[in-house]
Amino acid sequence: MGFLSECTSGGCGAKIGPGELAELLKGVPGFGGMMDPKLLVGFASADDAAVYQITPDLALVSTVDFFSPMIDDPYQFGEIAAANALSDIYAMGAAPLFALNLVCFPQKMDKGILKAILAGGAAKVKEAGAVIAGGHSIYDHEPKYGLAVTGQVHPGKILRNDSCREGDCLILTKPLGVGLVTSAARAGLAEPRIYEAALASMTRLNRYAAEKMKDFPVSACTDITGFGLLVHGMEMAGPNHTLVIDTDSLPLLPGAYDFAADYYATAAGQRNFNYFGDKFILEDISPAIKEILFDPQTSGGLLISVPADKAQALCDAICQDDPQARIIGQVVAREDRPAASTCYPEKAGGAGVPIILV
Amino acid sequence: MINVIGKPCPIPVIEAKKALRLAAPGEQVRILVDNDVARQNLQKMAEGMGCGFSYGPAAGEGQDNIEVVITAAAEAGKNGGAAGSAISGESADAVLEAARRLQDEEGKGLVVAIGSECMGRGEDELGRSLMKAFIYSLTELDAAPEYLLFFNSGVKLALEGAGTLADLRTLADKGVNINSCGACLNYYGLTEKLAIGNITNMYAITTTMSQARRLINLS
Repeated sequence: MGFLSECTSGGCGAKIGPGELAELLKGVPGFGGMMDPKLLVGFASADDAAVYQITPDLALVSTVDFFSPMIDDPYQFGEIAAANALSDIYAMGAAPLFALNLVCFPQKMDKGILKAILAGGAAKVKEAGAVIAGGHSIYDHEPKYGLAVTGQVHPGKILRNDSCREGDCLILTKPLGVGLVTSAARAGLAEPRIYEAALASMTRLNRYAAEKMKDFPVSACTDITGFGLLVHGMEMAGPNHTLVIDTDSLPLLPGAYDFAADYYATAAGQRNFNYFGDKFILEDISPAIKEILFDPQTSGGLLISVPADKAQALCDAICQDDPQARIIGQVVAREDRPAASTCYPEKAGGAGVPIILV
Repeated sequence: MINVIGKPCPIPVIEAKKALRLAAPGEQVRILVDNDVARQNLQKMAEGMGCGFSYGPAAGEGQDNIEVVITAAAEAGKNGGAAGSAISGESADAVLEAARRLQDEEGKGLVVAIGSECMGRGEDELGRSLMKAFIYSLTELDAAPEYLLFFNSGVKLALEGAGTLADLRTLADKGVNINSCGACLNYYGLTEKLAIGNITNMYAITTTMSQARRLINLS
């Protein structure tokens, strides 16, 4: 019996719902209250990681991520957990330095499984050019694994998630549908080819796409994880912008659309929709695409906002190592009507009715 | 009764679909779930497949458990699939009844799809003037169409400066929904010039055409 069958929920889909989280944090000292001026990015901006300035040229970036397994292979689960934890560092434009393991593991479960998880995590941290510096482990009913990662960035080069500009184009670096495919796989519906593609996407570090950004005037960046493309996109849009997404351009994992069209929806996707569905103009979007737009992405790709005249060059550069990256939309001023959505006048046949983030 | 207590999504949907495949039209499938999100995912499936749907608190132990009842659709609805129409909580019979009622309303449900700036084949100059006359004639109908759909070069009829624009405004004032294909506007580089109506996509065009009770297709 695989260790996955012991778990009730896994991956980023196990995240506490966004609305629920905001409610829980209300009134907690430090959240929204007086801040240390050296805390350049904190909770107030709902960004991917915290950034703390040390010197005029150096800031530390700190993030933590852990979850229970969403796949059955412990080594690959370790790789995915590490790629997912490291991703927040890359989304800030930073480079990882070291990581600490977080482990919850059942007393009675085969410890060989835990060894494999840790080996998978260590391999990804090594690939990221960082080191594992320690960790903490406890016994628990269900296995959980993740890492607290510390990185560094020049304070002038921080990439925030909400600083997109009107006229920017949006690039998504990994295909969507991870939640749909992994939950279908748990129910025995995904053939190996489909499952392997989702695994490859989840274990892929965002390092390579992030490195390409350094040569371009990127305005904003975030990583797409448990809240799905639209809710993370909403954080990027902030109060002053609207993201217009061309649904025909979205890169999708094989199988994802079919599972969505067959109504094999995930619980976390529906929770995302319940909290935020009314913020978006989704009227002419097919039910299957809607499912994909709210699908939780464990170790998903980066969503990058970059001036339109540089977008194709950046997308081409990212595609050298991550060939599924696509330009998926455009940033417009708030309240702009849908007719303004001409992201690709040169591209025929692509533009569906845009989704407006409001 | 299908018991999927403790089973994560999408297992409730998978089990319900298995049972529905074997169910006769009108037959009820009962599913016991332990959370409301599973209920919502079952409801999306039921509505998408044109099945009846209802739910309530389950009897007996397990206070948060929910009993869902899905009524298998007639064959046509079963294959209807993805449209996800708004028939929540109604039985197939009620939907058919509603459709019949709508059919009785004179003039409703006419969809006019226009895929060219010219009407008919032949000289373009003649075709353009015929199209202008056709759009004008639509304004003279006793009951205006419900939808005007423009695609391919048909989108040029809804642009700034088009000879048909004044008549389209009249139609819009009569409550006609005017929708133009976004990909087509993009292709011709004319999106910024769209002067009336909304931008739509192929999914919405297909849905509108498939749900039309009467369709005039000029392509």
